[in-house]
Amino acid sequence: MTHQRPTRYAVEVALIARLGWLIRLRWLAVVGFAAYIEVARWLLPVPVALGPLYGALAALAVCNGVYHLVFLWFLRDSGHRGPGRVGPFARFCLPQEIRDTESEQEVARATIFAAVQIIIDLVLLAAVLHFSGGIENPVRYFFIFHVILASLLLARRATFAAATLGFLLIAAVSLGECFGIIPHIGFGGPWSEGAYKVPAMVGERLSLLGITLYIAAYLGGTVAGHLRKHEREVMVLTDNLAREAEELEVALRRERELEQSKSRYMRRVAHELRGRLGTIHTALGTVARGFAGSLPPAAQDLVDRSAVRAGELAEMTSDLLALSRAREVEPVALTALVDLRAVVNEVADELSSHARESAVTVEVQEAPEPAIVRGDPEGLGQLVRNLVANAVRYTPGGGRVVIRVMSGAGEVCFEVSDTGIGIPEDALSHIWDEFYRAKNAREHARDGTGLGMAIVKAVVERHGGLVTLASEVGKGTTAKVVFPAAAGAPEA
Amino acid sequence: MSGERILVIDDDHDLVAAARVVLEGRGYVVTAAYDRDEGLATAKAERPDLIIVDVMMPNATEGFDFVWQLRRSEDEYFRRVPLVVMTAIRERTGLGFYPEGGEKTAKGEPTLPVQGFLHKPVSPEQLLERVRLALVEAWRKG
Repeated sequence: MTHQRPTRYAVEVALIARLGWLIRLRWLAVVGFAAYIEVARWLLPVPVALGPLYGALAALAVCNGVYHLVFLWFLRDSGHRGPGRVGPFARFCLPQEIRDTESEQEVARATIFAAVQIIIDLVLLAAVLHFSGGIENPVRYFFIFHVILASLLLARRATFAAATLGFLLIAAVSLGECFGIIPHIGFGGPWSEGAYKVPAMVGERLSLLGITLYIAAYLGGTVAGHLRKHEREVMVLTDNLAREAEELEVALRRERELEQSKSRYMRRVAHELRGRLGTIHTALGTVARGFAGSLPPAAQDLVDRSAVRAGELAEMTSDLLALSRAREVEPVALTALVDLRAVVNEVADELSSHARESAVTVEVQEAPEPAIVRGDPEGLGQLVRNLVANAVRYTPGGGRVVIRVMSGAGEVCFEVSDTGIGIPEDALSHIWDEFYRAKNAREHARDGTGLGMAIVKAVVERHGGLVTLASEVGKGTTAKVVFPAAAGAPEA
Repeated sequence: MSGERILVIDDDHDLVAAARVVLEGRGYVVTAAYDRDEGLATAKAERPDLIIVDVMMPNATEGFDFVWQLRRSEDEYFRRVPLVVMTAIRERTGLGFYPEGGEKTAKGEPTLPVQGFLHKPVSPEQLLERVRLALVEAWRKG
């Protein structure tokens, strides 16, 4: 999808910036003009038409003051945007490259403003020329600057029109003076060559100036046209990029919402399944353990198997729920301050009887200072429980599991080391995959959903932490989790 | 230790049936209720020695309401009767979102004034052990 119409903002802002520049330039011209009059007055041993010149200067200053106010209004005005009627004068002045924007009317308004400034400038310059020597004064070449300014702000035909107007004004002044229709106000002395009254010389100077003005209009118009074209292309590209980024963001948001709704549905299903499976597990367990009376051996065997399977299914739905929750947990649920030492102690208590049954020693080594992580207490509990339960499960009798909690340097570190069966090197890269269990793990313990480590990874990532595993088959495994310490957590 | 009267409150009739088999197999006398209001009425009428209540019943946290209503009762018996709450283990921190979660524990998690939790799915052994511990504790406190 392409958009060939740059937004109001880009085009109008560029144009208004140029208008501002023109007005600043004119303030400089006012100062320069005053300096010019004073220099002429004090340094040249000739009479200077001070009154009219200062009059022209004052007119220029007043005009620029008015422009400045209009310009400020342009800057403040943010209403009436949108398509509208563009008059014939604006259509004549509006450069082709900035037509057809989303706010052509506003751009046209700014262009008319620029055109009016240039016309008044040319008239004032013609007056200055008249009061300071007419065609004899090199100031006549200042008309070129206005043609160049016109080329930067207006359409090419308007630039040629400005060149023509400039030329006509100079011609009117110089021919008028030449033929005595208007008086010649020269500097006199060596500064007055008397050329103004020689038609051939006036004609020669006028022709040269005319040619210069039209060449300036042509060159300025060409260069400015190219610049505007490229500018428009850049604006269109920028606009397209911004729109595409916006579209992408919308699509991403929709995708996320869809994902969340899918996830909520999954959670609901898993939750319903877990409840029913739990009841089946309890009921089968009750029968299997003889609470409902003794069974014939074949029935006992089948009920035992069914009870185990029901337990596995219940555990798997629980893990699926936990995994889905760890991945989807809302940021608002990640704001609690959790002391990992408390979580570790709670989990160690919870798993102590199971560890005792397996003849595995569980030791907790914790730092005296708090190990506070900002996050989801439920997820963090799950993470610690999964890592410690894994360590106990895969450590043969007589082995040892050490849990360490440390904090410092802006980090909280939680580590579980065991003297268990270890993870083969080729399995290490798959260990975080859902439903993956290493071969030696399956051989050592039949039960296990293969979801524990995926949950660990999801919780760690959700909390901006890092988890690493170091393992050697037959010697043991160390899982290390590093979290950023919670900012503003209370000190011990 | 047997003959104690236990009230089991859970909307899952099958789970109540299984619990009844396990508990009655060990000599306890079991009464069942299937929602908060029925549970409160039965508790008032029967005054059991122990109450096992499920947290999540059809109207969300009915189990929590039940616990608080009982503990806020003016009747001394209801403030002291041993309570065991059944919950899915991962819902335990859900207590933290309960508006009347009570005072905070040292770990910063609100707690319920109960004698123990049973994590679903419940095995017969866990059920018996938790019941035994809650009754022993109540007996010690006199």
